[in-house]
Amino acid sequence: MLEPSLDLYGEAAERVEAMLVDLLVQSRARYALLIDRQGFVILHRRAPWAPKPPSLDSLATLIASNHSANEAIAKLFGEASFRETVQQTDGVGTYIEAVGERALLVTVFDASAPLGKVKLFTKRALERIRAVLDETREAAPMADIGGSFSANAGALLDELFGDGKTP
Amino acid sequence: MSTINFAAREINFKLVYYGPGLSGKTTNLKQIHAHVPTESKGEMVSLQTEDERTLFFDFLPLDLGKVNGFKTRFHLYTVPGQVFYNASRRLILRGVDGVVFVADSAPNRLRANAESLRNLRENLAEHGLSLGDLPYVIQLNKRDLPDALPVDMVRAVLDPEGAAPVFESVAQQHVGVIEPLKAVSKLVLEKLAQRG
Repeated sequence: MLEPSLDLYGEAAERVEAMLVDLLVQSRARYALLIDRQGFVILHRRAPWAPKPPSLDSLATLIASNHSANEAIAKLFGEASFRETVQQTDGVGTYIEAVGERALLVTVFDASAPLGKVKLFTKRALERIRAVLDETREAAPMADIGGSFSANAGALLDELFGDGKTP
Repeated sequence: MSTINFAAREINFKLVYYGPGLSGKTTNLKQIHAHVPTESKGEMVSLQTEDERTLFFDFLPLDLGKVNGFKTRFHLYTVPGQVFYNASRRLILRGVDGVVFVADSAPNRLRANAESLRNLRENLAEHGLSLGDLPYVIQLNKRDLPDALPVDMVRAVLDPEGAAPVFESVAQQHVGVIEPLKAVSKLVLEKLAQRG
């Protein structure tokens, strides 16, 4: 069964993308990402002036895993989770907020963006994104993901791996 | 659980390499990374201790290309095999779609194999999953050991019902690495087709 990463489609997704852009403009952060708890990127935006980001797959996986580990630490103390997650080097920082049970909002910033500003605008963006998710009741678009999807994906697996035999 | 991202038109699957410490899980990912064409793979991430033991996980994204208009990807993870890293193993299993259980052929690791499989069942149960419902294959690694246990003997301990496909490998030499990956990927796709 295919589970949507988040109930975010069409116009609602476009609105959230615009909110990520606003977040970047207001906070002067480099990148804003909405990722799911498994570490898959749902949406992302990059400030026009920001350097090319590192691999977003790697970034999302590490952030989601780190967030899960932090939750496990909090649970050791009988708490649900840490209130906020901030990491900073001399050059770059990440600020992470949970978006409900299934997603995380990640803001990546550098020394030109004050942490207080990043926190403030990330929290504001979070409220707006939550509001969109709460009011969105769009049905998931129809997608051809049944037998035809599996057969076609299987053919690509054959192409990628050949007969599966290794020398 | 397979996830679909309509906003980005992506379908993602999560495969986990599980097994006892030093059975060859990380070696599998390194070999896959080394042999898959550049355009079909992302960066490999390894979180290791100073002595190169897996501390949290290894991660390798594979890009299958577009299927029915959806970018389709398999994210490969390993878990740390050492017994005391169980909290990490449990976290990595979150949202898993398929498992390659990498067993060690050495006679003195038979018990470790069995304990790791039992641990896998327990950790899956924490996520409301059971091995019986999950696509999984067994990869019997280190077949080049002079005293490697017979396949039937290991199978009798790990999978007496014969429920899972078993593959033999020498991962360090890239022998038998691709077959189990391809097999578990196809099982995941078959399951998707059955459930729709």
